[in-house]
Amino acid sequence: MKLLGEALKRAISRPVTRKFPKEKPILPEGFRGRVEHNKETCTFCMLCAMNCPAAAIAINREKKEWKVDIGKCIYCGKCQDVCPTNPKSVKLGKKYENTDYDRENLKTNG
Amino acid sequence: MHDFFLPVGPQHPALIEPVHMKLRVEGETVVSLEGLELGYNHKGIEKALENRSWTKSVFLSERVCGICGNFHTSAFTQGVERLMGIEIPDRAKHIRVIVSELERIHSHLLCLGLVAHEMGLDTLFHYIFRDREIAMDLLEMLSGNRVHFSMNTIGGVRRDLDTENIRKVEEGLEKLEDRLYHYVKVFEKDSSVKRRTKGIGILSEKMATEMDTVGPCARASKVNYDIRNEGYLTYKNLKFKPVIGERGDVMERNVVRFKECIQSVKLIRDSLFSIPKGDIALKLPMMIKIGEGLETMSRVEAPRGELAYYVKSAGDRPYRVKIRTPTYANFHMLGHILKGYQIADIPVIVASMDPCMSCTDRVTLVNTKGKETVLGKEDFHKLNGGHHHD
Repeated sequence: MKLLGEALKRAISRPVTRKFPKEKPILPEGFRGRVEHNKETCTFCMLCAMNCPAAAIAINREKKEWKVDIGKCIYCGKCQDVCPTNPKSVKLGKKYENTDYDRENLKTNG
Repeated sequence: MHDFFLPVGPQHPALIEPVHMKLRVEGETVVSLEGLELGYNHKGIEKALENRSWTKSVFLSERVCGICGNFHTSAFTQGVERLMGIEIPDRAKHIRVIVSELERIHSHLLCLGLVAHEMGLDTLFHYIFRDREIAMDLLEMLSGNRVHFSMNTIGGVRRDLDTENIRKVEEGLEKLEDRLYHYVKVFEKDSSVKRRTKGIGILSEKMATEMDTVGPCARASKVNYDIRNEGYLTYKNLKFKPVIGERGDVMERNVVRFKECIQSVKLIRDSLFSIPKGDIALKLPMMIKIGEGLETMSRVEAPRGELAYYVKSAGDRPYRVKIRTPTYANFHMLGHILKGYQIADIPVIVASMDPCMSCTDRVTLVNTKGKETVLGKEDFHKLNGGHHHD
């Protein structure tokens, strides 16, 4: 009898899983996704590149170039913590589909 | 009857973890465990920790394990804080306990789900994994990531809780608690679970003490060994008392794990209730410097048992970090709990031990030729960092 009750309950309830590509997950506030960089506010102080545990950030101060290798990034958010500008020039966004067939495509300007 | 060797692993349909076991079997019965080969997951993290600054090594130490990463950073940062002679703020201690206990719940539920899967009860496996998701979602909300939380840093934690977070955690815990009480009943009373687990893989109290068993495996065999007894972080104020089992078989180990989850729920509730206001981390210089040659041993209770970090300083970075993981200590008793049981019981017994190879593979044997060595009780104590049960 107990089994029948459980079976009936499950037959009418909705599945727990989501149909992923069609249905996007609900991300919590403060989710740590892909790194985003704001070129307007950035002072190119090098702090994020120095503190990155995975050495994923490369900065060229003369050319005002800021590059991150998503393939190396460990999504810890240290760069966001140490960024001295207000608002933060480097922060972790909500993008989570960060894969590619080519490693070179993962090296971006943020 | 002829006895012969049965190789199990490193790739085996019944064992998920990459470990090679050489078993001597007689018919369907396991006579002894003749050899154990580890090292298929060796990552060289201990060496890599030696050329990183203190703050960067915290992130690397979390990568030792994908299930109990937060415990690794807890142990490592605790050691570094002890070397620096600093005390972290009370609020940070509370947040560390909350995240640790939530992680313990999801780690235990992962293990128990796998035990159910090895028993052939895949429906139960799916139910348990569905409920594990509650703990995972709470952790994602608190830390911003599902697996590597990066919550701990030297001198405190990196993220604060607000009232909205506290409300959501309490809601989630209520749902979880109901389910956990239900599973205790299932694992104690259900006839098909009972038939696969009761009286299988018995570890006596004497053997558990002799083989330096740690964690739920030891506590299911009546050994009161839990690092939380020592009252690190806020466990002293929470009046922590470990869950102790009686029989020491697979069933008892499972039930102890579920009861520990229920206990964790209570510990988190108490922590959320008593969390003080204040800073979450101390303000430390960007480049941390510690006196050269200082060394310490730091221990925490990870889901699988005692996790020990030995840290020695070389000024601006670690000189040596030695990690002793709980699964490594538990492998010594594996031969004893397999002995005398059927081949079909091997997956259930191994899964009930909750091995985590990603944690354990610290050592690679470079020179495997030469004489065979037999390790006695004293050698085990030495390998285990010299600790004896009291």
